[in-house]
Amino acid sequence: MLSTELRLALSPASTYRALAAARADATWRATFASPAFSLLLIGVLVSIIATGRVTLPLVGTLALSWAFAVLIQALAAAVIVGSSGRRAVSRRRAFELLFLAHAPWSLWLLGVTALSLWSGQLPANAIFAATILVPIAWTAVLLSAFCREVLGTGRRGARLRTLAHQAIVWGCAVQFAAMVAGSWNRLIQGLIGW
Amino acid sequence: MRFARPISVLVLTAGLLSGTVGESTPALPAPRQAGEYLILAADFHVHAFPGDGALALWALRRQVERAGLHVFTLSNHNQVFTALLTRRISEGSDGPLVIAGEEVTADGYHLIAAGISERVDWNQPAADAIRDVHAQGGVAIAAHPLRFFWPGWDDEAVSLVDGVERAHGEMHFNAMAKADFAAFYERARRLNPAVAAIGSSDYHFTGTPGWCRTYVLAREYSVAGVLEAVRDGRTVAADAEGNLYGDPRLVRLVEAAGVAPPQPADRWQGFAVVMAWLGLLGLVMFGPAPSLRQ
Repeated sequence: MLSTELRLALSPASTYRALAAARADATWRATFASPAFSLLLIGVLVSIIATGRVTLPLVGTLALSWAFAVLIQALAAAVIVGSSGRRAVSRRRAFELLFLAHAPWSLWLLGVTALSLWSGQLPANAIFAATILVPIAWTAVLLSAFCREVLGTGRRGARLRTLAHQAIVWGCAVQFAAMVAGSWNRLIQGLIGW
Repeated sequence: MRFARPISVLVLTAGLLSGTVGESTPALPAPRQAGEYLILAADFHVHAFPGDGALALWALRRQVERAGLHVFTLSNHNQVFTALLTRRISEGSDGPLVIAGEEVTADGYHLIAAGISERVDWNQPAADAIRDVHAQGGVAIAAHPLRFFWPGWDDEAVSLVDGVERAHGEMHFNAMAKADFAAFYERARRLNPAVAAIGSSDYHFTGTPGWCRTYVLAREYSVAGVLEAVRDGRTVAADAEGNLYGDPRLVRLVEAAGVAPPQPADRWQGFAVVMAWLGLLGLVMFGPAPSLRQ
């Protein structure tokens, strides 16, 4: 039996419709389960990529360090969940359902980890750039389905909210990348080649 | 398939526990003596989080210690904040010495500024950046001098630089890089015979700090002692296969001392990694999350 997250990734609209109809409210535990899993996934996979080891202290440290990535997701989620007054579910349940859309990125991260373990280094920039388009596009499809089935928006509203969500997430991500690359110049240089 | 999710949780837990229990904690080896010098294992080019490295500073320092490095330079791109924080936190504690640094990242060159306390402006010619590093009491090292960067290294800059990355991880993936580093080092030696041969890992997200490393022949086990040795060119670069580069007299000293990177005696790490990865994959793919059972 496939996981809820994978069913959602494979048939977003019908799964979101069923999940929204099944329950209107969520417990705090349910709300935090998916973000917590994302943190664990990041902690374990970054630990494997960066050190070739997994230990509890290392995973905990890395999960904590990279928690900002989940916080950015939460910020973007708060913006689009709060933007609709026609939600079929409570705010908390909507938050929970939105965070279930992590399968494309989780699978991509698992794939990158397997590749880096196999080759001893991160995939080349070109492979990175090409493969990253898959979870980006896939997540956009899930977000759009979420907006329509859970937030009750029309097609145009879903498109706008998906754009807003991705703009927040990628705006923060690119800003962070420019900071760690040393400058915007360096970031562009890195995207081109060395 | 009903049990797929609990099994995944068990597999993940087994991975995490076996990895934790099987981790060895080797003590940092004491530096070897070679005549009047102490041979310190160093890595002058390491990145950390927050910045362009995966590991947060405390985890990084532990990783550096496991690699048997006595000293390392934290050198994030165009920022010195993380390095200063790491140096501050590590002051007075056991473990590797921390040299605050920056990888000055300009269009035409990359330069490691080691032993600085303020950010060096990247938007200037290499020679001026090196003078800024020297003004702060630091040493300047040409980072991964691939031919792509050579236009940024005029003769004035090469004459001023204290060290050159003769060994760098890139040389193990790219034959042209290997030739480029050798050619640049020879050019630097012609212009400045005392230039230090440096080996660096450029550790960001994969590999190991100290993968390529520098053996520093220092008069004292301190940051000042290490920087003085680099200024005087008393270093030997080592690549990941253990080949040594630099002044033949110093290379012989290091060879005679019999230094080599330690091999941490971790147990079950391969098993732990595979189990943790499979456990996560199982959790993403199988079974409803408990909170979602309807």
